[in-house]
Amino acid sequence: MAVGTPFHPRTSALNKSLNWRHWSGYFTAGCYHDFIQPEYAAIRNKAALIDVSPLYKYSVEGPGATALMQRVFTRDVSKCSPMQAIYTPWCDSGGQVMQEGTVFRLDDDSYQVNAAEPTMRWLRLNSAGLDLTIADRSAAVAALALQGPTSRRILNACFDGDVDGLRFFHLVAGTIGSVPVTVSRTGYTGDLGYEVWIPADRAIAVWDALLDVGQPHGITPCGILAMDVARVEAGFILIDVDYISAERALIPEHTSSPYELGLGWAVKLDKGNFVGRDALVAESARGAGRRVVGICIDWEPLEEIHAADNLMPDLPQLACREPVPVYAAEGQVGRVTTRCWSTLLKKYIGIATVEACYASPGTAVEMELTVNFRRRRVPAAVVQLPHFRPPRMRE
Amino acid sequence: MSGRYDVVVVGAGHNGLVAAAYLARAGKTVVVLERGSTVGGTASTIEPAPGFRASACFQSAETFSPTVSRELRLAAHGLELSAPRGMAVAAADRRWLLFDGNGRLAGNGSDPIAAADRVALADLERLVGRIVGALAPLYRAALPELEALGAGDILDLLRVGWRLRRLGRRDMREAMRFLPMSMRDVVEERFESELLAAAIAGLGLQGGWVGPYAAGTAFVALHHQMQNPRALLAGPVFVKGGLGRLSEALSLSAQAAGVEVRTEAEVARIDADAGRSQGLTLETGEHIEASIVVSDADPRRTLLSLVDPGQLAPEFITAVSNVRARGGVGVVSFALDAMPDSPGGPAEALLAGRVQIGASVVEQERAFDAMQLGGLAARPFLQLTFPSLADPDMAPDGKHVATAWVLGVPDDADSLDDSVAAAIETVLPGFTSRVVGSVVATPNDIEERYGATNGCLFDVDVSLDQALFLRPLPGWYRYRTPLRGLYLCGSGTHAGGGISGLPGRNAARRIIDDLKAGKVG
Ligand SMILES: Cc1cc2nc3c(=O)[nH]c(=O)nc-3n(C[C@H](O)[C@H](O)[C@H](O)COP(=O)(O)OP(=O)(O)OC[C@H]3O[C@@H](n4cnc5c(N)ncnc54)[C@H](O)[C@@H]3O)c2cc1C
Repeated sequence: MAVGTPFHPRTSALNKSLNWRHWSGYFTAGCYHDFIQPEYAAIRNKAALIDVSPLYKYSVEGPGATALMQRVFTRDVSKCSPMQAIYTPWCDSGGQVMQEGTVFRLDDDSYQVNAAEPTMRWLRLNSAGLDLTIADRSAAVAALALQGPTSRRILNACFDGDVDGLRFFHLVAGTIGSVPVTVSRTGYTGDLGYEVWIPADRAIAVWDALLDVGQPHGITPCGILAMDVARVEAGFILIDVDYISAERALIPEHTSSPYELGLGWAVKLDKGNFVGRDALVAESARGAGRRVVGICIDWEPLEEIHAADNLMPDLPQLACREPVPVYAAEGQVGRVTTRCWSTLLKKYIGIATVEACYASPGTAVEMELTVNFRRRRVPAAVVQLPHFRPPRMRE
Repeated sequence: MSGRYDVVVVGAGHNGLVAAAYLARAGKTVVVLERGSTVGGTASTIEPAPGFRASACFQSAETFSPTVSRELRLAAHGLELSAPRGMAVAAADRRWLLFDGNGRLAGNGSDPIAAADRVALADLERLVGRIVGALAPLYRAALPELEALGAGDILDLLRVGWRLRRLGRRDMREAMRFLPMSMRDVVEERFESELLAAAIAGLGLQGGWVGPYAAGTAFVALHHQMQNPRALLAGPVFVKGGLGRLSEALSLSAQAAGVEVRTEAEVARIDADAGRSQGLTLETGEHIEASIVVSDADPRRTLLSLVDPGQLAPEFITAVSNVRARGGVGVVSFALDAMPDSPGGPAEALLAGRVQIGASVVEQERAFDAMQLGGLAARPFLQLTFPSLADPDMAPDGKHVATAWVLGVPDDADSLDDSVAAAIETVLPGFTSRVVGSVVATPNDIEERYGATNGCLFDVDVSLDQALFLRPLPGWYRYRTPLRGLYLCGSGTHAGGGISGLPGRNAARRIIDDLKAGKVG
């Protein structure tokens, strides 16, 4: 049985649709109303307030903390300054991705690791011989994502830290009301946005303060279904949807290396030993066998296939997580793992995994689609990810 | 990489020295680095009082491989071994049993031994002899690689299989049943005599941290037989001058083959990069280059503290951390101004070899129970030797040394010498008044002095689930480690646990083979 997050008293009052999703054992609002469009629109045009408390958060502190980060993560954490954040995958000994997430360097010897799945055991396993303490802060820290073009103005109106000076993937500490919070310029929407990390027992006060000062800037409580569409547009992969964690894969074919996930840029082979390095050295020499890519379904053939059966295209308003095959002349060459209709781009887009030789942008492929209860194939093109990423995300 | 040495050995315990000697004889340049001031590690000699000498930990060398002794010409380097000295079991109520150096019943005081017990003993000797005969060859070489059997490996396994078949159906069945049994069950179904049962059960307790009711203690008894098969109750074989002499002979033999032995050279870390060992660095900061590093330190110490764990896969580190290595045994060496009185029988004979105090299986189990609850039993299980009876040079004229090997000792037991002396007193009246000096080794002391994790006698507990293809870890039974160029050769590896020299010899041969096959990289 799931439980409420620290914001439950507020989110439950607002969630008129009773559309709850289970996320890591918590109830989170899927969509507060009958359809996601207003919430999605807030992400892209105003500001969306999203409860992301169910994320797992770990603090790692001590003289050995940096060594642990270097052992576990594929990126070079020594390049990350205090109050800076990095996004990085982490791998098992075979170089297969277990998860990816953000790591905050709070101080020289102090980190916060944010993960989608429980990670304590893995951090512990890797800390043999290191002088550090690891604490699971998942329940103690509540988190709100404030995402959208007006999010900066809202924070400026209630937060005493330097928001204007806060660069992309950096952190700043301060207070909202009297509550001490950390604000990171991070998010899962690909837009201008922030995440606010709050002591769980004072979470409500921060929610109230943000909604209050955010009114004139169009702040809108937003469920995770709208965020899901935004992340597809932004080209952000999702664990157990776009790839299977090496911890859960049942057969080797189900695992993915960082190179396969398009995260090769985050693998620093020359930073010293880290978990999975040997395998990744070999793979980087060999080249990844498949790649995560963007996919865009051609509109006209889609319309024609439907029209032949006197139907209109049935477009997924929510991100659809049912994987479907991708074909080329030779047969199946991959799968689309998430797809949705982007109301912003007016395109039917998705995230796919295809064999490496089909990964170049522009490659014509076909996606399986069930139309009128029949399996059909619709033409589609491989495209570069992200599908959409406004400059304001980094500016 | 070609270094200053072909091979550097961490630790001059007996196995480190054996490995070094074989490697040098195969033409390698070898240096041995020992953190202590003398060689031998747990196989060394100490002075419980000025002029008295005693073996520091284990007392005797009956498990030492005669093959190693012969091949390394240890006799020529000063090793002198006594004949087996027999063993006695003595109870506080003055009952006793005595076995001679051939393991035959030589006296039973007032305790009647049923004819059926004598037959049962002969029968057990025969069964153990046959099982050991079939399996002991597995101890005399690195085990075949199950994952990739070569033609030679298949032949080896076939030979073992053939020997097992030759046991015949009845003995084969008995053998399969015997290995996982508890010593208590082994003796319960065979013997009526409480003392005889206790003498046999005691053989299964040489694995540390077990009582006779524990499953698999029968295997522990077999383990020590496989290292060097002999009569079950033949008792100790003493090294003239103490066990340190064995280590010195090994050291001399190694040096004669060209090995450089350095004492007071503590290794701070084994350097590694990109999955390969890169020599090592001493506490002093001195770096020693060698293409191969062989560690006689125990697997946990080697892999968890000498190697940077960041060089190893986390799953492997977890597996190493979960290897059972527990203490539970202490040793007290006493300097005596005269021999204590005999417990009733002929003193010289009764005390000549090993005297076991722990005269019933239940009493042995209680001693273990007490330790599990954190204390020393009122009647600890102990084995006592008086090496000065065989070798008068161990003590000044007319005086003697006694060493007690005590099972069931808490890590930091206080005044262990007093409690042990009091326990001995119950069987050998007047013992306490003869004591003029003593040296105590609790499990904590053993860890501190010899670096054995948790003071574990055998580096890694000897038990069925940590033996043969599972020692020290499943998948790593061939002396190799995940770091190319780093090998293990101590008691914690296959054939190890006790003074046999076999792990050192097997590891050296494995390394020589790997070098020949160009497999070390
Ligand atoms: C109390 C006790 C009782 C025992 N009783 C019995 C028994 O009844 N029956 C039996 O068969 N066996 C017994 N043994 C076991 C037997 O003594 C050991 O199994 C055997 O001596 C181990 O030899 P080894 O060469 O493998 O290791 P060790 O003798 O442990 O040698 C390891 C060497 O490495 C050195 N070393 C460690 N770390 C470093 C470093 N960083 N740098 C340099 N050098 C280092 C140590 O100083 C030591 O000299 C007993 C052992 C103990 C401790």
